[in-house]
Amino acid sequence: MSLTTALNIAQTSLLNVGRQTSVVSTNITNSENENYTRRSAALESLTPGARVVSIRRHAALDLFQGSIRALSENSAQQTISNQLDNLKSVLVGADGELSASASLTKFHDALQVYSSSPSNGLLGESAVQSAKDLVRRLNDASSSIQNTRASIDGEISGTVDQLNDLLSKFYDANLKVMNGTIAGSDINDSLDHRDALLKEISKIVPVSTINRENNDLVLVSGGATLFETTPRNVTFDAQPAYGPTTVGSAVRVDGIQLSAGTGSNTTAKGTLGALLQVRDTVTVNLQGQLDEVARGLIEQFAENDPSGGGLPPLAGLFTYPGGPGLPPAGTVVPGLAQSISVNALFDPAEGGNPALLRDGGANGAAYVENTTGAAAFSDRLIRFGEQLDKPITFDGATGIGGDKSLLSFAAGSVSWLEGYRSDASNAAATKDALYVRLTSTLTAETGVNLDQEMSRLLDLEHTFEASARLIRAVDEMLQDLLAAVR
Amino acid sequence: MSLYNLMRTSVSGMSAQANRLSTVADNIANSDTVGYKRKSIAFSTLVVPGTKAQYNPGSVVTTVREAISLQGVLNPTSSSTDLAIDGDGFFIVHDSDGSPFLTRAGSFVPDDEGRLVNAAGQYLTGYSYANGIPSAVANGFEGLEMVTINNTDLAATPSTFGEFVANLPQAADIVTGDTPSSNLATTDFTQKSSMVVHDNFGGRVVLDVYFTKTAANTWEVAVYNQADAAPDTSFPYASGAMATTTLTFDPANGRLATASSTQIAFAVPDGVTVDVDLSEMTQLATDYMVIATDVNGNPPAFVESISIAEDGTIYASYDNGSLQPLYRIPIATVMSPDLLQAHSGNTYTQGTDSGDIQIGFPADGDRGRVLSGRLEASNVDIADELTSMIQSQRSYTANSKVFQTGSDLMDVLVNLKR
Repeated sequence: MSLTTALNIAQTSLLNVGRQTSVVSTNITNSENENYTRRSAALESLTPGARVVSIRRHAALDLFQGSIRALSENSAQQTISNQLDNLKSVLVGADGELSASASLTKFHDALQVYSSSPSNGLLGESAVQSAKDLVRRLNDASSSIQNTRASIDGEISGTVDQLNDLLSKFYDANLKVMNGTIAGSDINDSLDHRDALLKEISKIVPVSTINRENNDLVLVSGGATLFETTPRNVTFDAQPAYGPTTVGSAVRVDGIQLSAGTGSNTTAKGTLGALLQVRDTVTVNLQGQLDEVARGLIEQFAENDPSGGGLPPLAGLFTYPGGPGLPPAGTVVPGLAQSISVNALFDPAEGGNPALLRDGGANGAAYVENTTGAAAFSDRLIRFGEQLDKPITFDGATGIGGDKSLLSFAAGSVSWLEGYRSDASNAAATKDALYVRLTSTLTAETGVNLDQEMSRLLDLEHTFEASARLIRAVDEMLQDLLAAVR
Repeated sequence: MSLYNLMRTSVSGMSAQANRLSTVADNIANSDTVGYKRKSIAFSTLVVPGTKAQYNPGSVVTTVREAISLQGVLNPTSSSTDLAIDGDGFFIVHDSDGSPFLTRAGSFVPDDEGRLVNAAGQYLTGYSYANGIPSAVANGFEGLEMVTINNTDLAATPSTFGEFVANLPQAADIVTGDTPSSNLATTDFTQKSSMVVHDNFGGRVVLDVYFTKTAANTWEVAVYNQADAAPDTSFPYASGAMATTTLTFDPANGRLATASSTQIAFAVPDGVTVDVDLSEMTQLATDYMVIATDVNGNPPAFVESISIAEDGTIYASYDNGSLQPLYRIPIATVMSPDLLQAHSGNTYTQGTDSGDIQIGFPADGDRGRVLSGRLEASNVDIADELTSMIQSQRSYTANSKVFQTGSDLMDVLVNLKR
């Protein structure tokens, strides 16, 4: 050891403090950046006396994996919850005023009023008008559902594009990390960037990772390969428009179909699975329920042969393009809610006669029940009113099948949607809480703590001062020596 | 005893001190020269025989000593081609004529031809990896060539082997219909993954790997080229399976049965045969889970940067992420480094008493390791030199006083006769 060595070491110390300060300054700059992982500059000894700084990144791998898993589940559940809120506001309204059930109840009331004074033609007209309102409500609800499906389809298409874009960005980020690892350069920024992309990807699909040599990462979603050396293709054919019978196309990751979630507390992870669930399960069930209401109406208001002469029952007040024959009993007819209409023969606006509702005979004289033409004939109207309360068989494929009266089935449809929505909303709150909890733990572990950084800065300042003092001391000693030389 | 002898002795003392001052001057001048080694003067006596009654003054002789084996401080730099040896030994450099020299001055930069040249204009040498892993010639400079890291384009390396490790779900349903090996539109399969392999031109070929449970504990593996896949459904592929094999699992532990095949081999289009090791596959009661997937080979690429490892290997890292060793830098040692013959440019050659030059690789035995991004500062201590200088000055003055006294006495003697 000599004075010159002491001077050299003090110089190295200044250099090290400079680099350590720059790390602290990077930390402070990124204290609000949630994708930033705290760094620290560690010193290592080396002969003789020289020290180097190596920069460590305080990543918490397990916590990060847990947080992206929770993120996948959370984003799926939020998507389901939001879509159901939207469906509820369109199909039911805030207090149920938009529901088919409310219109059905109004129609039922109108029918009862008409049956109490069947001779009053105005009441007949009003009953037919209620029937028309009900039909319009069914038609509107059905097309709102299909519009929702179409918009979800567009959303899926956009999300798939976004995912492909993210994967190609991930390719660049991964390559940077690998090159940096090999060249031994500082890859911490690249790692942060890659992790941020991973987070974005896991919002869309569930991701698990496999580490390879040189920090290379393989992404697997479920069983499908998402990224391995190169990004894999995620494909989807968007449908331009949706009808009740349209089947949406699948999202394929590397050729494997992405599965949709099930249940209100969804099993889906990532927005894509949740969107597929709403498009292919929830809305299809709702459409089925409306179709069953429509089928129930056609069936309950059909005209029977009063003589018992064996003529088949035919569609009466409510009809559909397949009429006048009745739709098959007990099974859902897709799209019936969209195509159901009020028979023009009953509709005064189209020159029809509302009294047919009282008398029967829309399908010919053989179906006339009020054969005497009595103005006070109310048997038929009373029977219709009662029939709405009598159980018929509904298709179980709609989620609420079984033997029920039409009125309770329609009410059940509203409560099914509301139940699904509130369950989804509760699950969303739970999953969000879990995600927030995991994220805050992760941030506590890997984020920047300003207090720590400031105290570190003070330490560095002292080290710098001490080193500078040392240089001055050595300088003074050499000055003394030089003064001795004359 | 004579006045003349006295004057001669003091002259030898003055010239010895002048000699010492010369080394001080050199040391101070080179105090910031990378790889410079401090020089000093050792004195010894020269005795002129006299008699018991008479003392004959002799003189002082000087020998130059060099502190070559004393390591200087290793200062960090920002260039990866700045090299320092931490421990014993020397780099072997060539001058422009190709003559070998030893040096510890490692401030190398690439010149226009990609050769690494230091501040004295000498080129770093090493053993090339062009003909496989090199070995050092212990007692000669044969096989050493100038390290040249330019135009080292990497030819694409086709894939030759790989590994695939995954867990196949034990509870999966058995596929009874067409399996992937039949390549029909009605094909059904249990699980699928894909992996990238490289052909002879370095192109990337994506392969679809299908796993199909055909019976309890029996899985069919089929590999297809994804480029041939039909849209959406993949099956049927435009050409048949590249390879198929059957894995059977031991029901006792869920690992591959001893009789099962443990690998799948297939010829890559425009490439060579790739053997993919499947021996670590398992069949346990959990989900399909890919644990590792790795295939060698790399696409064509350009040199992105150079890194030098502690064992002296110079690696080129390519923009595709691969790393190739180009040269290995040897380290030369001698028995007595301090007795090496010094030359300009901080270089040394074998001296008469230094012992033979032995060549080996860094960190072998007592040879030092090579540190990249670091330079060895000179081992001169200014304070030491200044004190030596003051000492020399005083000694020189004292010698001159002796000479002056001798001269004055001579004057007295000469003036005795008038």
